[in-house]
Amino acid sequence: MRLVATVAVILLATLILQTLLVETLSTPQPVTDCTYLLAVFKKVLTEALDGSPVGEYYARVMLETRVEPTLSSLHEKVYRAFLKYYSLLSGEYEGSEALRILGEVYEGVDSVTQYLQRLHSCSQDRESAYALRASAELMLEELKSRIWELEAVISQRDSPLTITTNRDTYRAGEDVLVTVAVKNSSCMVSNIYLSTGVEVLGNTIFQCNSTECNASIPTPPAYLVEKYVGREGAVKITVMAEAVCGEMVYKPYRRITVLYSRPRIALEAPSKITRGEYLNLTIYSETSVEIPGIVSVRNRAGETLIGNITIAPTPLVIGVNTSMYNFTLGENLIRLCVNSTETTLSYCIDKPVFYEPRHPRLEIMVPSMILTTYGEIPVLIQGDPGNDLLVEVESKGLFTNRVSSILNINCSLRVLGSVLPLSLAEVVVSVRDPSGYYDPYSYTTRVVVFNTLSLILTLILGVSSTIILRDREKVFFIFLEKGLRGGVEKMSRGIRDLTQDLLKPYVTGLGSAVALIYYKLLRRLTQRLPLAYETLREHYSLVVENVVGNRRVKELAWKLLILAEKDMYSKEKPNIEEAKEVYESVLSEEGA
Amino acid sequence: MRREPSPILAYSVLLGLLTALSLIAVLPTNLDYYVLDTGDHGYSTLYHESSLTLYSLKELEKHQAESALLVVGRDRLLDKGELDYVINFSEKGGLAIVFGTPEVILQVLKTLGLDAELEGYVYDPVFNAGDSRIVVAWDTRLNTTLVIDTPFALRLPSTPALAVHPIVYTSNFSFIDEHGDGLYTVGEYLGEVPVGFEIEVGRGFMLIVSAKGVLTNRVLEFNRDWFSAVRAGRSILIDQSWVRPNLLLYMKSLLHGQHGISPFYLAFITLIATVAIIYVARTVYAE
Repeated sequence: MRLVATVAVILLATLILQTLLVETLSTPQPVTDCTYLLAVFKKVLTEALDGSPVGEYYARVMLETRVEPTLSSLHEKVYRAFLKYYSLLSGEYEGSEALRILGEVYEGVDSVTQYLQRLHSCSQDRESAYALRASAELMLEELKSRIWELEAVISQRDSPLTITTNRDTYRAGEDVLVTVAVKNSSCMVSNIYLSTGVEVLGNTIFQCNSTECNASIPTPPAYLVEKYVGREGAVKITVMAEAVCGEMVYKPYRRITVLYSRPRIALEAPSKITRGEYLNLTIYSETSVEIPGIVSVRNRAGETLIGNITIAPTPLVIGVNTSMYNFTLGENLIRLCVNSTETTLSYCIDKPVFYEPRHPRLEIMVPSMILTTYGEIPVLIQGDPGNDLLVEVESKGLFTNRVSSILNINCSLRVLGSVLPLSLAEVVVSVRDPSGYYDPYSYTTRVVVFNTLSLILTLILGVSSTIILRDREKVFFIFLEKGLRGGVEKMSRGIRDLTQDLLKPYVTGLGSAVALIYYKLLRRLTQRLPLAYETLREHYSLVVENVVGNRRVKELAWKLLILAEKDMYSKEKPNIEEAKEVYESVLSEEGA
Repeated sequence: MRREPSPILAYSVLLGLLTALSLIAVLPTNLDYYVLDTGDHGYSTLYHESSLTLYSLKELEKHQAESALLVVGRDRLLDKGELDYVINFSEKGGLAIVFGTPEVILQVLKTLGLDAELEGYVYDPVFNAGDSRIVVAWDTRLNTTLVIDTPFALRLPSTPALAVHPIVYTSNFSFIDEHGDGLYTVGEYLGEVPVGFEIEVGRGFMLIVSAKGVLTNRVLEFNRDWFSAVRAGRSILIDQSWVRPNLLLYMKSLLHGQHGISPFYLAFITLIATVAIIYVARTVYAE
């Protein structure tokens, strides 16, 4: 029964897994690549601006595409707005319903900026994604104006008045010819004017007959609409009419585009200058118009006005005393700005100028590798700076060493590079001008230094240590371990411990009965017992082998030695009786 | 004196041989484009659909090209002889569907005189079968969708030597991953990508699908309608010529029938092995 249940569970699990796999295969995963979503959004936007129905298809697909949950509500809102925009374009809605849908489109389009921000922030490569976002935002502005135009169209569908212009796009300075057609005879046009949508740009005189009113309105000067102008110099302006029809007031409007140009001015300057030099600026206009403007310098210290100028086609050359206008070392931005005129917009151009420090002309000579007697590195500084300069040479190795001197024409300094036999030292040469004429200058290099004296001393010390410590290794280690840590008292105790340890067999006995028998035998056979630094075997080969003449006795002594070693060091202890027997055998051999 | 052969040893050898053969036949093989591979890139599903396997492309000469469809899916390059057989097959009116790794596709195109370049793998985060590399594509000639596994984009020469008709496209939401990071990078192409090309070769056609799989297990179930329309009643020949040099794989293929392990073969080989072992044992015993 249990077996059947187990098999059933396995089969069920397999079935579920297979179902899940099939599910995985058939359903696309939510899109998480934000850069991709950004690119697709731009694609949809491009199609929408082109008025292509493909954009509607793309928007519909994207609306159905799953994205990660944190993005999904914004994603849906944005693409739903696109679909509604398309439905308005196709005239699917009319009257108040159309205006309600338009409101929803506006709401959706307002969310686009937030959507773009979110996509940008979750993109893998934010820098590249920024270009996509910026481009999409620019296109969004265009779409907004299209929606506004759509609103105008919708608003005029049921209006008793229709407003038309002779063109849709004008250049600055041109006149806009407006015609307001009156469909209802009870209507009377009271005003025709231009507006940015936020502020009225001025009324105009108009002439009416029974069916229409005509007016010619000059495009507004650039300085009035500058804040509404987009990057491409275009501004959307509303041509509005006001009419009273019975008790109702109608305000039909139409959107036109006015193009303003940027002034064509040029600023020429060298890309870099040295501190204290004059900066020559050449400024001119590429058109015949004279434009007032200002020149300033922007840097870490802030923005400093250089002067007010008038830019004309004849080049104006200005020599700027850089010491006067807060130029700072590094990048300085020379900014030329002109104000807006009737037809041209205000405009600024920047020219970066690198303000370099003023350094004395010096030649600093430091060898990259040097064999020295006692580790000194020679530093030679040559030059004729004109002022007395303070030179400081610093060597950074195991220790830091510093020397300084006053440099007039030539200067030779020696700095201790290293006390070690061989080392890599960092040499830093700093030059300062106490008068402040020159900027501080620093030069860094690395030098390989051979210190001969140190090398010889190390060799001598090494050889001496080897000679001194030969055969005294244990005492040396006691010195290192006890002497260095605990001082003289601990060291003497250490030596005492060692001596006791070495003499233990003589003082306290060997601790092995068999070894005692072997020593007893040795006392019989030889005059010399094993020394403190001698093993039993060494003693045997040096002494017993030579002193004892009887081969049988030598064999028995060797046998007893092995038994003694086994008794002292092996886990398998020999029988004491066996040792005694060997000893007795030696005695009997001697007797024989 | 020679020792008598132990019957236990003989039976052990027999049993070991049987076990080895059974294991070879039964154990699953994870090898792309292999008829017995049940994995994503295997051909087991296609193999079950009354297909003939070719263990040498020379066998193509035995089949009537006009009524046959050759499936060439590869992750290893074809040699000169194999390429000639495939092209001859197409020239005689056969239809060859070729897919596999970019190297294989580029090699086949080069043999046909088309110097193509790999632009990158194609991803479609919107129209896919659960993975942005398993892309839904559209066959413009048959007006049907198909699912292709790991497609890649090719840059074909502007003036090809042969008539090349792009017929299979990915959706407008696909992109070419030129940077190879699996993600969309700003500047990468976003839009429909041709991934299937019909190339006229002699009296026949060659359908080159620039994808790792189109008739492989993972995607075949989505492509039955498309394949049925492409096939148009032709008999299916599956290229397995690369299997032959591998003795184990070849033996495994021989042991297997189209619908599973062939008991006949297994019994036959077992019988021969048994006879051989008994004969050897008796001979040794007689000496």
